[in-house]
Amino acid sequence: MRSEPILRPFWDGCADGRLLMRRCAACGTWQWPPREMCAACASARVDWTEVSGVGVVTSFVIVHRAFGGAMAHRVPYVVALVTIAGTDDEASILTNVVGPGATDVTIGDEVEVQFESEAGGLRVPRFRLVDWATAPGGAEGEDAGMRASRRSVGSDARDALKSSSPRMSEQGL
Amino acid sequence: MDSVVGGACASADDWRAAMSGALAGETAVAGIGWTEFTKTSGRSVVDLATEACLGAVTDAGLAPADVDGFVTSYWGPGGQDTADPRGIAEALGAEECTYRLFGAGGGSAICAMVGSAAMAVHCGLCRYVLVYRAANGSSSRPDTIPWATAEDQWRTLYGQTHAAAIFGLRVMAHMHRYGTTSRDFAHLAVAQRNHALLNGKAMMKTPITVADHQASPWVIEPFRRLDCCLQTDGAVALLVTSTERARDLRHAPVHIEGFVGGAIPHERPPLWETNAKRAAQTLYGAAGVSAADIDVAELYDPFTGMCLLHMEGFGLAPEGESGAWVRAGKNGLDGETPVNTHGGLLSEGYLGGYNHIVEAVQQLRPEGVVDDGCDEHHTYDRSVCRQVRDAKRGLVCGESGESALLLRAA
Repeated sequence: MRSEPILRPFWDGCADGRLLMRRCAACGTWQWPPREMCAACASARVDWTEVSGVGVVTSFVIVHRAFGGAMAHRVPYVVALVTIAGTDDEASILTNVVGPGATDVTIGDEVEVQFESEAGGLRVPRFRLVDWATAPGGAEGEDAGMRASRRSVGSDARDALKSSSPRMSEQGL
Repeated sequence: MDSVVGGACASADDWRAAMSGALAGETAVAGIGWTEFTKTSGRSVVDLATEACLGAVTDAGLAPADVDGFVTSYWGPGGQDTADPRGIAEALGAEECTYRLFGAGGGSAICAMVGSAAMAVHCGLCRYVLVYRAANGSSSRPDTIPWATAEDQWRTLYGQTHAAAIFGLRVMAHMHRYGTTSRDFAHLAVAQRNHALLNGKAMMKTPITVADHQASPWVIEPFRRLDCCLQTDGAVALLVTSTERARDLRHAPVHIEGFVGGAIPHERPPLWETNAKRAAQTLYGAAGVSAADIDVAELYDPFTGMCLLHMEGFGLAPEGESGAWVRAGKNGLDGETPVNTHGGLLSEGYLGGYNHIVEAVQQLRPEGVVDDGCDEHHTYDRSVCRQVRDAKRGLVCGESGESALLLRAA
């Protein structure tokens, strides 16, 4: 992936702390993941365009049992779809929500990009919760409880997890 | 697109419906077979597939040499976990093979594979086509799905390496929009386990409760261990032929009334919908039926929540109300529309979802299912019998409704 010429501007942007996404120069349609042709109008003129780096969580999962991948050492971690502000809700990026409060994330939460340095010199765009950074008390404050109560799956279940083995023998996982 | 194929078709939708309906009643499933479903088979996928295929051929009253088409599908690039059709043609001693298909697409393509066999028969290329799926999914499962497409390369970077992390995004969006809960999932898991207890070949033999489900650990939220399907060693097979030929065979034919195969991108909004809505429109439109005409449904259930989305997409449960529908028991054997009557992928076993099709065929035969607790005649006593009363029409779907099949009793 990292050697694909089409992606070089993206990774160069990340190295500079700028998030670039794809937008058709002919019809303005946003595109992600990167492809060479605009699926809306068939134009080949799809440009790298800097976006705000602020967005809203459209959906997410919390991975407790990793099955490989670059985040396996960070369980539990959040995989999220983030819709980027200023794109008419058109541009969504698959990413992680990381940092304080990440596993209390819910749909609709505001997030902002941060670039994490990884082995090999790559800087990977992941997102942190905006509210969490500014909320008084952080993870111990009222916001944490409110956030958890908005979630369909409660924190009681997360407690149950702690007392259970993560080995998935019976169900074969 | 309008009227490109003649005056009879007014729109692209009508055209698709006409294509799906072209096979209506002309082709049928005439034989079914399966191996034992285990955690460790100790056998090759070729041997497993051969046994299931022989079972289907014998069930139809044919000999292996009669078969001239072989169809299966696997996970995707790098994940050829079933037996190659060439090898199965050789293993069965086929004298002539005029069509073979080694398809990709994991659980999404299963009904399209049956449809492909039906097309090969319908156009005269083949007389008898075996559609099969073998796997040592439990004993030699790859740790991660071997992604290989341009889109999938991003998944590794962000740790979206398991199907639960892909389809979980859809289900989480549904929970947020409609208030669907993990307890709703529990009721589905319990119902399907109860069905499996009436199924001799099901892997899961012990009952579970809602509390058991709620106490099972998270794998990938919103899914707990008991929300996730099994991994299975074994094989299943179906024999597809023309309705005309099927009439002379051992069992009454189960008609292939229509099928669709298609896809939309995983992350295209709205997330809480799947391709099932469109598939239903085409499939029901072609057959001139509605969801109310479905007597039994075997819906792809890699995770409980995805099965709920499929129930809604195919109109069995009202939009956003699949959780309540399941809590009310409407998916039960005597419910409004019995769903996953064999226990599903959650509790019978996982053979790519092809075992769903085998179950639908069993339910629609005059003699009904042969591997529940009933001896000669079905009693509908739910402590032994899983046969659905008066089952005339069955629906099967693959992952996200990306393929679907309508079957009708003779």
